[in-house]
Amino acid sequence: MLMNSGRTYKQGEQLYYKESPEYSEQTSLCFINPIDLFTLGIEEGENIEIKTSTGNTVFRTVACYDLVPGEIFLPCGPYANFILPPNTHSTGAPDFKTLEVEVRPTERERVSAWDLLEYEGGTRYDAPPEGCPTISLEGDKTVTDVLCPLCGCVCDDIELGIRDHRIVSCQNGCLLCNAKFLAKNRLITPIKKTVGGWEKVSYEEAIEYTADVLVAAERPLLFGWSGTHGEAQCIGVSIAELIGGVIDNCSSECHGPSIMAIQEVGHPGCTLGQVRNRADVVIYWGSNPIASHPRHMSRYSTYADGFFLDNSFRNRTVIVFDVRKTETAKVADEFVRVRSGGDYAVFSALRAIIQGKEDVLPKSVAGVAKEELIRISRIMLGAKFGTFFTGIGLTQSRGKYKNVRNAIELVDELNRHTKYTLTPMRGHWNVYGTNQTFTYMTGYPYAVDFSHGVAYYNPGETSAIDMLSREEVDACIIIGSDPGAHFPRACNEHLSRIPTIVIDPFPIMSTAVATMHIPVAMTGVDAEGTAYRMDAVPLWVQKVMEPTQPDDARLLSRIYDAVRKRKGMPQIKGEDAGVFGSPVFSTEK
Amino acid sequence: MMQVMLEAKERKNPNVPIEAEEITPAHFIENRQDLSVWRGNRKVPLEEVFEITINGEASSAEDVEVILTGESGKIKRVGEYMESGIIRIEGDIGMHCGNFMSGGTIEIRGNADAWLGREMRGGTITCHGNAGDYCGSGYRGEKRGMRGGTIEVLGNAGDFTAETLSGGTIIVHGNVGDLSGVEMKGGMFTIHGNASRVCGNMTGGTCMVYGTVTDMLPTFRKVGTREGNNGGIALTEFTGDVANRGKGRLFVHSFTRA
Repeated sequence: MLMNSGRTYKQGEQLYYKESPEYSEQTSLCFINPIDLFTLGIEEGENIEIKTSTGNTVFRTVACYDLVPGEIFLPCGPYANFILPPNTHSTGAPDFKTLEVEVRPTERERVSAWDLLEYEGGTRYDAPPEGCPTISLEGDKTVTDVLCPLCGCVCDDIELGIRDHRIVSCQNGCLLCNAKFLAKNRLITPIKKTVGGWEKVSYEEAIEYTADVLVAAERPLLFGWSGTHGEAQCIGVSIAELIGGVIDNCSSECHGPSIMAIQEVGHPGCTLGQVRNRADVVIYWGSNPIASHPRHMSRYSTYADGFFLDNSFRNRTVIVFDVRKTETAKVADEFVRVRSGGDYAVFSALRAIIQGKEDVLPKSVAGVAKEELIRISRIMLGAKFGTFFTGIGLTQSRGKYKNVRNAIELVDELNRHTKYTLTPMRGHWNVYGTNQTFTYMTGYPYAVDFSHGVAYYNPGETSAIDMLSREEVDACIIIGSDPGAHFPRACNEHLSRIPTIVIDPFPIMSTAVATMHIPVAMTGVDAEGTAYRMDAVPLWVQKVMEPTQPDDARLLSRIYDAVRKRKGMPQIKGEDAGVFGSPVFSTEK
Repeated sequence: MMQVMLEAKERKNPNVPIEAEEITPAHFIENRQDLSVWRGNRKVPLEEVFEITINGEASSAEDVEVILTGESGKIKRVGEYMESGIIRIEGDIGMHCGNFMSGGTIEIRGNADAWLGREMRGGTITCHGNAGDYCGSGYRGEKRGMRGGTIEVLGNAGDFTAETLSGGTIIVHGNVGDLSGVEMKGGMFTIHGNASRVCGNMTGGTCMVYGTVTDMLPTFRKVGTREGNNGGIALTEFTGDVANRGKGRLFVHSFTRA
């Protein structure tokens, strides 16, 4: 059968509660068409074993008519990645979509996410939650117009209620936003892996350890960055240059292919405000915003009022292209089901139709009838202002960036007749920021290799998943990302064999494969900095409380200083302090 | 005639890649003592990674033969910018072998990793095993890839083989991976085995597939049928990619639709 993995909103809701049984529950589901359940001879809710060339694990079945028979859908997470081969076809992004798998009924029970990480060589961190280290200097209060640091929408109208130094209510946000702001199981002190367990260490020891590891490494990798602010990312790039390391961010496995396509044929982009106020045709392709960007449709497209549109909800046409009938597809005006992995051919076909060369096409293309394509292309051409939102359904299925390139060339073709734009549906709140900061500092958006002292870029060669699966990395820092949950198994197995330092406010799946976890303040709650929304608009994310922990930028500048010291370079300590430092943070804690 | 034997020494961490762009025949004729390679982020002398034996003398790079033995599968950029002479690799070779080469010969007994002969201008590369992804391709964002010379792969080649090919010849005796010949602009690309979604977005050049193309793209216009010069295998001729207003020629023995 063909496997696709992706977001579900229940999985997204558990992102900051990964140690909980509910996270394991929600990421070990397998959505399957009832016809396939019948063929397998099992009832919904019974377990199945899914096997690939990489391994097998157990999932619980959920009957789902949104899928065509022969295709299954898994929520992204440690279970789907446990069976995912690390081959990226030299593009940086593995086959999260359109992967051939074997499915059979099983009597075996599911294991927990921590169990999987232990199979991969990690050690679980299941100490009881220590609470939240934030302090509200003004006491109990309500803060309005807060920016949400979760998805690429970076909504700016959140209202938080704070009681007893904790966030207790969250208004206006989506499920994912609520879950993140209300998460309190933060890590309080740095922890170091010992034989069979974890011990608490001081920030000094953690920083010295990190600097020692980085200086000794011949092929260090600094990965993540999309969960932290731009100022910290800039210090990260400086560290990478100093140690001759490779710095990569989450886009290499999600929208990096979109950027590779943009490098080939350009980016016909616009801000989300333009879409909201002008777009009368909105096309979501390989994207399910109801699960991944829940307020995208109400703030910027389907349900939003537009300044230049009368009765925008009625007059806006929403078209969804996807392999399954997602929640978004169900509320759209048009849904076109493309056969898994067939997007490239459909783009080519639409380009030919718009040129008036439909005679060349066969009767159907990737499961879509030619007449249907012609009809849809008429709707596209009828737009005054049309926009494409492309998701990871394109970048992680076969063909990767060439799918997005073909989408951009379709936009190019449409722009000969009317106005069209394209915006990738960036996932993390600041993943576009990583591309912005990396590009203005190094010239390249991600996968930047400083090993020769100059910046070199080649996804597939210098991207994290490829480097880890080739086992060439000999030290790794993970910051603002969770490869433990989102990288193929082989990568985590390698991470568990090398010194790996995780920098994150919460205990995460990657903690298991790390040798050290250093907690930091959380941007948007007790740390502040710049974020770039999915349309590359920079926004200043403020804190709502005071921290008792260093933020990412402060911690990284300490690591930067410690590395300079080891290299016998003059200290520039104090230069950054005061800018990034927090008044409450003290290293004696 | 000068023969340079380079035997890769055992390395403490054999997975850390070696970048050896200084291994070209011309560099040995200059009798340079400062040749170095990169092991990860460390610049180390050539002799730290290789046992070097030089026999004979030569006055020009054309008369130099470099022979690479030992564990060489992680050694990258061998023969980059090479202009003449011969490089023989007894085992496997790492990424970017023969990048930008404009003349001479590279012969690989084993398999080659990705980007074999990237942006090649001239000369000959023969790979007896399999080649990785992006064989004879361009660089990220580049409009044109290989422009001249010949690459012959006796085994299979990976995905995106001959991407943005704009001159020269690529011959693969086995199968090629997905989206091979994508964005082709010129040159000659021959596949004796199977392919999938071949030549998407092509604007020029000629591609022959003597096997089966799976998921053949819908935007190629059938022109006619003819016999190939490979033992009389029947071929269907297409022109395209129509989506890109292309005038490339694609010959396919058999195909299935997407």
